[in-house]
Amino acid sequence: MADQATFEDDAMQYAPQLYSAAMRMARNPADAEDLVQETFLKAYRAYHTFEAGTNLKAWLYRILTNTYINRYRKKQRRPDEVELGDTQDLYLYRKIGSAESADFSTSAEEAVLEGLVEADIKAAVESLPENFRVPVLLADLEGFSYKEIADILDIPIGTVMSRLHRGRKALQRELYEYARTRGLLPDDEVAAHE
Amino acid sequence: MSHECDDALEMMYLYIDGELTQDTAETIRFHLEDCPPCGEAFSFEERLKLVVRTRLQEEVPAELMFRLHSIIRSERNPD
Repeated sequence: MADQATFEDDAMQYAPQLYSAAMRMARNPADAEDLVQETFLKAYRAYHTFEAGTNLKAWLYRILTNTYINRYRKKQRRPDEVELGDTQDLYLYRKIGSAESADFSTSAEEAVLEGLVEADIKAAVESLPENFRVPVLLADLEGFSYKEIADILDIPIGTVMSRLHRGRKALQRELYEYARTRGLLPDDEVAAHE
Repeated sequence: MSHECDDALEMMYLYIDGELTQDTAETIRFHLEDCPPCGEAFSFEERLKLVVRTRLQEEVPAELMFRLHSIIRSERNPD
């Protein structure tokens, strides 16, 4: 049992991280702030049920995620689970590699990794359907283990793995489009699409 | 592409996410050292993961932090 009196000391340190995740869930600052506020209010009220010494960060993310999913599903008449088409492994890497000539091979990859700006990556993540976006955020932004993500989302670990896998590949497809638009790809690759 | 390449690719995300047992991770690490194409592909994916993580960070508004503290305080002392 955790003591409500220590809640601020224990939990407030996670607020900045939760806000980063909430921004990509809610997709705008006002809703993200609401989401974080509601999360902390619920967490404070339920803190006496939290078992002190266990994973507080994961517990807070569980509340954040449930709050987000409940809101999102309320807003959407037909909620849920969108499917993604399959994408080959190493999609982005292969797309870059397929066009480059040997002499600037490293720089082409570097150009893409360096040239994709914050706005591109945020928009690409936000384009993912919710059931893929949340596991990707939990793994890539927060660094939770598959087991922790399974607990946070209340889904089997196999489901975590497949959503993460497919979500990341879909993300790469989006990132490829941003890289192309920004002219970060070798010329012949861009030309092939015109 | 050898058998080992296929096996490594199959486990790429597990490897990058640190989800493999030490032995299996070691087997893959040896393969990556031996096989430059796999090594480069894995290193691209690892760097991409880091780039995604870094560029998704947001600056939390100071005003939100202030509000969170005051919400908790007013919960604690309702008057």
